[in-house]
Amino acid sequence: MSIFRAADLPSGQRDASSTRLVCWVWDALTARLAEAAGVDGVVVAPQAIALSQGYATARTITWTEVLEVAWRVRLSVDIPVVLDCLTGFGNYLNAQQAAREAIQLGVDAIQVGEERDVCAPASGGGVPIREAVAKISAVQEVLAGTNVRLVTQVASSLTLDSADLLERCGEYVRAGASVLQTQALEPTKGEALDGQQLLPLQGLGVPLWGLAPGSPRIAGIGAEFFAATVLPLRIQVQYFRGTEAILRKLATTGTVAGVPQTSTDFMTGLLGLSDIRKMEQSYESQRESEWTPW
Amino acid sequence: MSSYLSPDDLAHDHIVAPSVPDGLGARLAQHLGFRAVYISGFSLSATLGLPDVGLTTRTQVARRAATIAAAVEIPTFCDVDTGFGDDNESIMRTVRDFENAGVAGIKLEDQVTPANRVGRPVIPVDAMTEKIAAAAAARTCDDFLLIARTDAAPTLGLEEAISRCRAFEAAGADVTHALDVGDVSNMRRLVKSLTKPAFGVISSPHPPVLPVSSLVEIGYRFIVVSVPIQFAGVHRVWTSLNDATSGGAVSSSASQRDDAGYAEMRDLART
Repeated sequence: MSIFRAADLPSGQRDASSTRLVCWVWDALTARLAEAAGVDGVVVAPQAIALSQGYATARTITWTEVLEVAWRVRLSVDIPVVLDCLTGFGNYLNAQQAAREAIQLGVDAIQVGEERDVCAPASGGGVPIREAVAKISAVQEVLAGTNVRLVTQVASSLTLDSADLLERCGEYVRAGASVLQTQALEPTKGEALDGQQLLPLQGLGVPLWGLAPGSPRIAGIGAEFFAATVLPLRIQVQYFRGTEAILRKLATTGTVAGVPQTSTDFMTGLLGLSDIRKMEQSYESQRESEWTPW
Repeated sequence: MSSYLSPDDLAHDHIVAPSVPDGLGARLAQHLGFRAVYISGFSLSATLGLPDVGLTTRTQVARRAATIAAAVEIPTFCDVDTGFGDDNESIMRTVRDFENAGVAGIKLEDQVTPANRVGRPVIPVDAMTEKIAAAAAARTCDDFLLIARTDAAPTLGLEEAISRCRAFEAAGADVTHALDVGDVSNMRRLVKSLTKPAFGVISSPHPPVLPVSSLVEIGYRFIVVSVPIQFAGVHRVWTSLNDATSGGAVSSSASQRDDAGYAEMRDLART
């Protein structure tokens, strides 16, 4: 089942195992790890890229930097790649240009959000509906005729009541959104989202994405409600924790022994070194027997 | 902005530089009190989805180095493999690009380009000393450190490795590194033979893996902890991803830990 298709089973007959898993990544290595672990798709996430560079917020990251990471990710994995364009890195013209470049890059979907504040979507809510629809329409105009899908993040799921949310999401779908990501991903907010208010969105006929399975942030609905669930920063937090643990050990004891690490063989296998070595040996033996100066 | 480390700083003291593949790791290292960071070719290649066999370009590495150097105030050193070319023009451009990137020094190897081929063949010593001389001539800051590495020991023996390090020193290298010289007695012999600071590495692919204190006792002055730093992060990511794909639910406590970790990352990063 593609991560971009609506649930294959009618509502109520799905189970959590049919829910796809999508993971935020910040470089090609994490994308390869996600693919190897069986994740169904990756989101090249500007917020995660910003943090890896040492910046606190995605506001400081340029579209060029995101595109460079996305290029390496696209070259590194075969699973679907979603390119998070935040709110389009500008107005509708910037969003259209981003979409054109994303198409050329070969990503499977781009994500354009409605949030007022790209770095605090949960607290800021969405921009006025007409403004958001204009941007989605502009992007869809570029995507028309391609296989690239449009994922729209609906930040206002935390701020609107059920009827207003349905109206807003209906407008987005009519404007071309192929997937609705129904909750902002900013994990600093303590409150849970009332999942009951999301129920009417099932009638819109597009896949709904939400937070990770069993997330305590969504009350009243199960993981099976979503066609795909998103692992946002949790993976990067784990990377940070692993790095922190070994650096602390080194700083305090002068050794890294005892800190769990992956092996060199695992890494080189993940990065395809064995295939390169085989090719290298084949090429070298061929060259020795057939080589003539040109 | 990354600063410099004077060769004089290594004359009477040692420095430990963990290898970090990104800006956040560099800021974490700085926060924990390390006085320098290092960018290993293996780790940087991995973040690009590539094995470390000379597939990265000078542009890619310099840009990443600039990002990491800009993230910290402590000196940042970068592995440039064989210098992205064997001709003097390429080596000089490499020095200029990495000076402009804000790093405090580079490490140049005597392997055949591209680096890390099967058997790790090395170029003739004269060819390497010419590259080092070109690099020394190209630098505009005297404190921009040139670290020269030889991979000759496994194939040509310890004496050849020592001889090369001496030649590298004479050609203008500030620090030298002989990789994989073998046991501790060989390491002692190497270090005693040198006139400038020796570079030692703590990395599982390059045994013996000794603690910092042992390397200092032997006489190493510039100590890099290479791939283990990235490998520890990857271990946690791999475990977490497998938990997620096997249907592991997110508990409230796990969610709170995520929130705390995210907050720590943001606090550590720059606004």
